[in-house]
Amino acid sequence: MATTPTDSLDDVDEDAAARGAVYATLAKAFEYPAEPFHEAAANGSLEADLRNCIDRTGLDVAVPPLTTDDDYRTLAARYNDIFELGYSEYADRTDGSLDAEGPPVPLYESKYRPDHSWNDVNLDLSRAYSHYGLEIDQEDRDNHDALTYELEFAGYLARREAAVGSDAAAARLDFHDRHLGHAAAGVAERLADEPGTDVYGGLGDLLEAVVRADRNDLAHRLEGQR
Amino acid sequence: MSRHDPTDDETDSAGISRRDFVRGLGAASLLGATGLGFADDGMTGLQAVDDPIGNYPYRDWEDLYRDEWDWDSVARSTHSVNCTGSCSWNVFVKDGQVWREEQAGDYPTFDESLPDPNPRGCQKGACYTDYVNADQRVLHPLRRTGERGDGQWERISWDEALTEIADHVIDEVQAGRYDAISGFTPIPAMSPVSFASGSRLVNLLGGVSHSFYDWYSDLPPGQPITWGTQTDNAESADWHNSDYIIAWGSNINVTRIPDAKYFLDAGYEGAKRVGIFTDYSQTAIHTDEWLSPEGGTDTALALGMAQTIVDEGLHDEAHLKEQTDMPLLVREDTGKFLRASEVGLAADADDPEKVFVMVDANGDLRAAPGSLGERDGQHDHSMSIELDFDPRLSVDRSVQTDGGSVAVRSVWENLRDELSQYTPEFVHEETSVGEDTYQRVAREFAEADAAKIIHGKGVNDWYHNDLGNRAIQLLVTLTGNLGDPGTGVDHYVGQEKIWSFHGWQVLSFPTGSVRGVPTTLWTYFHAGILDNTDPDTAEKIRESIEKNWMPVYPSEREDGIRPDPTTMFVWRGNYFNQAKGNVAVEEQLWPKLDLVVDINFRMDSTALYSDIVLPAASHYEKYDLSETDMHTYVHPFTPAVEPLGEAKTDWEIFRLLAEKIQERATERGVDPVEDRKFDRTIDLTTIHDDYVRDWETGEEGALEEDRAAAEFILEHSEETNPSDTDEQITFDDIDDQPQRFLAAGDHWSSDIKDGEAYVPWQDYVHDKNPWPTFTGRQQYYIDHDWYLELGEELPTHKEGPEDTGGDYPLSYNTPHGRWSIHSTWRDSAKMLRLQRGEPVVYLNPEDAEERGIEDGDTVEVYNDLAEVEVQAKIYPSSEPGTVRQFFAWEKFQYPDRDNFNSLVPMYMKPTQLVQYPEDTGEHLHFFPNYWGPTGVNSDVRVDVRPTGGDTE
Repeated sequence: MATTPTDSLDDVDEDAAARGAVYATLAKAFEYPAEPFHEAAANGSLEADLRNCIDRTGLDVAVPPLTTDDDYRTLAARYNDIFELGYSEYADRTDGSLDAEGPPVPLYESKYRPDHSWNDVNLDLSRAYSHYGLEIDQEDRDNHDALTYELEFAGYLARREAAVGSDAAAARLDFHDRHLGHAAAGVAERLADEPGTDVYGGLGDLLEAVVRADRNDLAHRLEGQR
Repeated sequence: MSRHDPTDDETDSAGISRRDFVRGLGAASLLGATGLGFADDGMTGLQAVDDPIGNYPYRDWEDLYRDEWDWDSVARSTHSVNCTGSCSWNVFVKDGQVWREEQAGDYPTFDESLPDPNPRGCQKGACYTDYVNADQRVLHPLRRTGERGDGQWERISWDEALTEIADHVIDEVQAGRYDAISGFTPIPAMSPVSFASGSRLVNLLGGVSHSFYDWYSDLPPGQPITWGTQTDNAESADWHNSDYIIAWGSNINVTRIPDAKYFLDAGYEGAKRVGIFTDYSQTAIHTDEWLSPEGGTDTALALGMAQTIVDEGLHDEAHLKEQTDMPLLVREDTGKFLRASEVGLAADADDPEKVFVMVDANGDLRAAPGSLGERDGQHDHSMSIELDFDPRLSVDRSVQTDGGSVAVRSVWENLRDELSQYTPEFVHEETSVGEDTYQRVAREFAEADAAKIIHGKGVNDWYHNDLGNRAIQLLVTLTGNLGDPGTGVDHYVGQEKIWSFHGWQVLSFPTGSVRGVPTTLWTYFHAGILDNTDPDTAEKIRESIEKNWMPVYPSEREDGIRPDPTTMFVWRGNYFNQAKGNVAVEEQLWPKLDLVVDINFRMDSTALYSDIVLPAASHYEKYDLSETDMHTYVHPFTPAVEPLGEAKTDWEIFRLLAEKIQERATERGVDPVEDRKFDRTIDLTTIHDDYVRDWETGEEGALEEDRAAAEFILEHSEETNPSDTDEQITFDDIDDQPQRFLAAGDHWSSDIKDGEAYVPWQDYVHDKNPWPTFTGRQQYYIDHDWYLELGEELPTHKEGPEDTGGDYPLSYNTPHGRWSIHSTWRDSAKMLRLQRGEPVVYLNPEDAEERGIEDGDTVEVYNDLAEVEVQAKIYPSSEPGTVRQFFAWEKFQYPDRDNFNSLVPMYMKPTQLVQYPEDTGEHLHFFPNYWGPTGVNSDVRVDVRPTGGDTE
């Protein structure tokens, strides 16, 4: 595609832009809840506008209920309980296996990659972020494999595809296969097993469905091109 | 392939530029999804450091691996808090993240004849990165929303958290309850800046600083009793100088991994290594000979060995005469020492009633030089214990006193009487150690050129730990194995002592007025021990408090009422999990506390049962110092990376809290409060200014940062900035390479010498300064009324209290494990994978079979206090009749949250509540971590049954 200095932003690829918006929204949704997120979940705009965005992607993804009746404090405590706070708990007392690593649904990809070391997962991500000139905010840093970073990165790549260059599509597919696909499936599966997840249960389902559909669509589009 | 010119940044009709769009700014709005505005302000976790619409060609993931790759930086750090190894590590950083660590391996060699000091480290340190990056890190200030322990939290801002805590603290101080504010943090040596951070604020608040060394029964009370001080040890390199080493309950290969090489290598130099362990431990298997006494009979074994040494004349008579109380006379009628004042001696002494009496070779009475009555306090190096006469060891006669003729005998004669009870038959009957075996070991020990005992915690955990310590110490005293290379009793358990003492002390307690408290007594008092112990112990606890021998806070008010404690800060420790008597602690003490604040990098059991948890920087995210008495080096923590999430360093957290208290106190217009005990005013409106002021120089704002605090310690300590030389160790020096201390200050009993491993006690043994005891000598006879009443004026073997925890057939103890440092690393996945991954009890096969228990079964360990569900491990190396549960699993790692300590009741030994001399206390007085009651636990009785079963 030709480069023209006078390009207008109006020419962005709407499908990719919408996918970028979905990923950005999911990134924020899986952060510790801020008041505006709670408000959007409580008043239904989260569900409605995510549906609008997904409708513009062409992906065949059904949006589950994404509302909450929690007040803000309860939602925040629920988030902490599900995602943040870790105690060692028995996975299976009959064989002594112990989940020593913390919260019921960890928001880190490496927790869902039993065959890969923490270093392998995180170093690979570090290289990916670095390749695109991105780095983690050191003022409030987290590990490279934090789900929210991966979703931000997925959104970034989708927006690059939408507004800068279509070669980002290949990066998006590889990123799904190497990282986000594993994290999304793992988080969704754990959430499905967890009681009392409220809006986060729906967000987990949506996360998994979007990532899977996006990945399959990318694979189909790029088939034979690489 | 690029859709757009990377330099194109024009805006569209909605005012969004392409660059902003790719950053994520307004991307949803562009699509009309205004309801997603909360997610439309761009990336926040990832930041574009290069142009977001720059040219980043991508064909394949391999492209990411084409760039040259290297670490961004390597930082020097180490591990704390209660790991006493003090090993220097290099920490590797890339993209703001720690990826791995490796042993620094650059400790300078100071004695070429000793094994290389490098490297130091163990498996826990090698996986600390896991903690730094762990998803169970506490990343944000949290306030509980449910009951304590429910695990329901809300994230709050730092400002909200600090304001809530500050207002509470201000209320307490203004109400005069500043002594209801407690600060608990253990062991300063391995991170003194973090220790000082909270201690400094608590000190400025007039609050209570807790002891820890005695509380965890790491303190060997026999050492202050006998030597007037505690745990001055040779560094581990000195093990290599020994000809004969007894590892007495010290499981070196498990708990001293970085130092174990000195123990193993000593064998290559011909040293004999004997292990004394109740089980065939991981260290016993590497010794030349293993003795296995019954649990709790160490005292009988040691006194049996002492009897052999004395009986066969293998003792060092010159050492006993000059360095010990053995020649001193004791009245037969009262059991008290004969005092010089009673026989008209030492008339020139400040206090002849505190001068003791010997008999010289001519049979004349002589004042013992160096007695307290002629010294200026406990430590007085202007005096000497050197003798200008030859005292008799054996004295049994009468003397003429003011009150008439009195029969007296020397301590030596009394000791010989005591030892005579320890016949080979008795010792074998009591300990089960073979008669010939222990006597041969005693002979070998006495005849070795340089013999040493490495004394472990196994002895300390028993009720009669003081007697055990004294009996073991007696062996090195009798044989003169003190003050020279390769000798001594090395007791490293807990390692309270910090080399750079003065700098740490004035940083931690700037006012100099310290409300210290013995934590065992404080905990048990507020958890209701007075109503839950035998009448005699309860009475002695009351007497000790009434006579001000031991303090308890809050203090009793003028109206006779003693308020409850209200506030507790815990940092660097896991008080709630590690509390013995923890059923009572949870049920009685914890509800009294209105506010519990835990500062932590992980959600341990104390954090879980707190009200507010503040996220602390990990060991790789801060500046601090690391020291240990296992070696004579100092090396640093330096921040390899920024603290994860919203975490802050301990120093920063307490400084910010001080700042918030000052701000709120000023806003509220509170008045200063006069301290009811000390001559000082607690002024909350200046508390931050006081916190960051260098009180030694008066410089305002000098201690804002943790690194400045570390430099303060180095600057103000004799060990790193000696007064008699221009040499000085700076923080830059230790960041470059670990540095050996330049000197040893008054806190230590020997000098640090070039080319020699540190060995203690030379001030007394070689320089003849008085030992810091009542008599000025190693003192094996204690004529305190309580000791006489209990028959413990000399070391003696006694049975422990019966039915501790109930009438059950099995003995229960909780040794230190291989896979954790106390509760730290207990929840590390890597460490759990190297063991069974859950709390385990070790059972002798006979005990297990008798109860129908097989390896891997889930069982209940139970007594009158609790039932604790764990996995059974069949341990043939264990003696029958003993259940071992290597501690310190977290409460939440047990199904019902009853943990290893739930089986341990509150109990303490009255002999450790005394002041001695009773009126002035120079020899034994409460001083945090030096003298106070120990929290013991090995006398506990339990039984075990398969889960769901019963005792039949």
